[in-house]
Amino acid sequence: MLLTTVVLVLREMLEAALIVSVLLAWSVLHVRSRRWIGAALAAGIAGAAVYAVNAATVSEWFDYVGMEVVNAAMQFAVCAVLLALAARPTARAATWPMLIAVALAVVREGFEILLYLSGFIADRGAWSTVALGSALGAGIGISAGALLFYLVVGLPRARALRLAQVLIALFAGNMAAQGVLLLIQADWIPGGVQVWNTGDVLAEDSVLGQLLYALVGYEATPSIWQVTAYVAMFCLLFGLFLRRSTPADGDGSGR
Amino acid sequence: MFLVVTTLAMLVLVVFVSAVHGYRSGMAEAERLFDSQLQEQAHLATGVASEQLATLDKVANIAFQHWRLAPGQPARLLAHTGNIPATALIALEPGFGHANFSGYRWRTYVHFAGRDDVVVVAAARTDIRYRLADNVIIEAITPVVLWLPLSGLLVWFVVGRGLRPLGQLAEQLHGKQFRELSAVALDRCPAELETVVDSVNRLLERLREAFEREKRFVADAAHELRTPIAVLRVQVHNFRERLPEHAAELRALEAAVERMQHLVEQILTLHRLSPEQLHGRFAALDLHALAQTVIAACYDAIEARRQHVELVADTGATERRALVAADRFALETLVRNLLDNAVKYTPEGGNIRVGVSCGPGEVVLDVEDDGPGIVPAARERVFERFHRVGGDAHASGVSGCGLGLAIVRNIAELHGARIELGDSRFASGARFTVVFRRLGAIGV
Amino acid sequence: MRTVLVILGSLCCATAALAGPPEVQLEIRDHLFFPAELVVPANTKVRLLVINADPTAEEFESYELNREKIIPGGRKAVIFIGPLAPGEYPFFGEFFPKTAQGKVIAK
Repeated sequence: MLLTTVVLVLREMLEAALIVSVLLAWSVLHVRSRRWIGAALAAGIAGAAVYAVNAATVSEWFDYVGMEVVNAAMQFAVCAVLLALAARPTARAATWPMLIAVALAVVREGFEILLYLSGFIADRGAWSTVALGSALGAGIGISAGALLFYLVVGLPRARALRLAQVLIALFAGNMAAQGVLLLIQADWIPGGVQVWNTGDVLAEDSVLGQLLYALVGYEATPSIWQVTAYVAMFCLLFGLFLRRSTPADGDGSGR
Repeated sequence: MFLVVTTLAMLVLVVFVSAVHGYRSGMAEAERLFDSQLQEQAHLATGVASEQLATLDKVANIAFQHWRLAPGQPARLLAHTGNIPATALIALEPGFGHANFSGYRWRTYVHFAGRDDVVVVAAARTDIRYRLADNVIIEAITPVVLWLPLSGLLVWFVVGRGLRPLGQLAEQLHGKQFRELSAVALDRCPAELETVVDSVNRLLERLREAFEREKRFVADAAHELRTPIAVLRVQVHNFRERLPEHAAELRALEAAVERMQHLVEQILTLHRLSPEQLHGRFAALDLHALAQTVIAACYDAIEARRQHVELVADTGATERRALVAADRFALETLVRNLLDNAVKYTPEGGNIRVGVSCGPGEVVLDVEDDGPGIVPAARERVFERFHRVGGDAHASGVSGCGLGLAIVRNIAELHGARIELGDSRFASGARFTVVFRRLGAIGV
Repeated sequence: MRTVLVILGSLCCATAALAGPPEVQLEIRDHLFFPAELVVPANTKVRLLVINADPTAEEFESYELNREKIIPGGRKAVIFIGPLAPGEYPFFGEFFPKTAQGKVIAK
């Protein structure tokens, strides 16, 4: 039970923590206020609680695939706000996309943790184990996030910006691919062919597989549509960054 | 902050990952142990008679089945414990497996007894096995996790303490008063910082020596110039008496000598006001009364230019006295220089207004005139030494040495007061505002 | 892009309603899967109806099937799987993986 809790909390925590730390680093690199992060986390946790309470209802929407549709919508919404961020990275209003992206990521990941933990409310004997597991998972996840944040912020500015851009584009690609997978699972779009199967080389449930899943959205058996969505979103976002950041950097060094 | 967070994050990562790893290998070890136990139990159960087996169901977490294999026929169930259904749950192949029955998941072991074609199926409840193993391993891991916040506190404390000398050094350097160049000293100087502190102190020492030399040189020079200038003045005066036909040239010469004397006096004033000499002489002074004295002393000069001067006191409703902690000579010099400045730049027949008011915790001195004023761009520079607005080709044609306002700023700084420069309330002209800290405790 | 997906989705729903992929039921009780081994036709899309009879939520998860779905306590949910090549595809309940284990066998 301990390991289950650790793996579950860690998986969700890590995904959220990486997005939070990269976007936080992004706002530090652009010398903008960091105050939005508190509001984003609060909104995300509140949203996750609301979603968890209504999970049963949502689950039965759209002929029992409501959760896939809602989750996919959230993933695509994150993609959309990240695109908005990439389109105008230095705008004053760029705080909003970051706030929305973090809040949605926290809703998406927090909801799963809350549902899991709610299963143990009645089981007093399991509390200490679940608490220990959650502490371990959350501790590892948050620490990884903090280290990534300082890694990005600690680099020379130009390289830090480039790394943050790559990571944000990777996250967006990951989100798009996950959204597509959810719609395939709901049978809203056809499955398509499997592009590769690397389950034997690097299993998704191995430690490295999990880490790569959180960081770059590694899948052992992806469908063609997932790969297409991933690559398209990554290129679109990174292209936008490339187009936008060159004049912005010149402007920055001139100051 | 960076150091504390990254150290803590590393610590948490390493400790927690190793805790999880320990849990996993502990679990695997426990599983092997339980499996060999199940194997043994299956072996033992071979010897139990089929009739006795049915009565063994008090042991709720272990279940047995006895099967007989006959070639060419389906396997026949001989006996079973009460907690296991009388049906085939798994394929009768030797080895371990899993099966779901009676509302639980069971670990199964099929044992071929090797006599009478009897096959024993032993099953143990997985949830109980996991709970047992879980409890043991968690007992071992919990302390590690519980101690982590403590080690976090320790890291925070140690890093904080380790960096404190650095913070102290920064604070001391930051808090260095104007022209106060004494050496910095730390309570506890770690070896890493010793070189830094030494270098900083050597630098401060050299700087202080340089300042000292400059000050002494200027003061000495000014002092040495005083006597010859006085002699020169007397001589010029004598010449003027003796050679009335050259009166015009000699008056110009006399004016120049006078100006030189004023300059030397100002330089001496500027250098006499070093903080060491001043602080011992601070007393509670009423700025309003002091301003009155200074205006009275300057009245002749003001009268000569037919200017109108007024002193306005606004000490608030509480009738507080405008008390400041200051050196009398310095404060008089400050007010006089501001007043001289106003007199100098206000055209004949103009207005000068001196205001003393009490704000919350402060005393404000305003000196305003209706002269040409000072454009905002030039305001910063007027307090520099030897700087005169518009250079020597001054519009007002007034002579001066450009030290008066530098002295004002110097005095203000020594008294912890701040100076602002703005527009006067007249149609044109400048306003000098000096804000002192009010001496609240005395005389209220 | 989302409109395109929705249109695509509704198209698929329409075709699904016409053809109707075969449905397989899976029940979760006491954190166990019943049946623990699901036999489904190979190379066909299958509508997997999961009924969670437990009061607590469970997450159906399978790396081999590439599926992940939360089923709230006491509710039903639908997961579309396949078309699958013949073979075994293990799945588990992520919330109770020690007991909730099973596999899909595509034949």
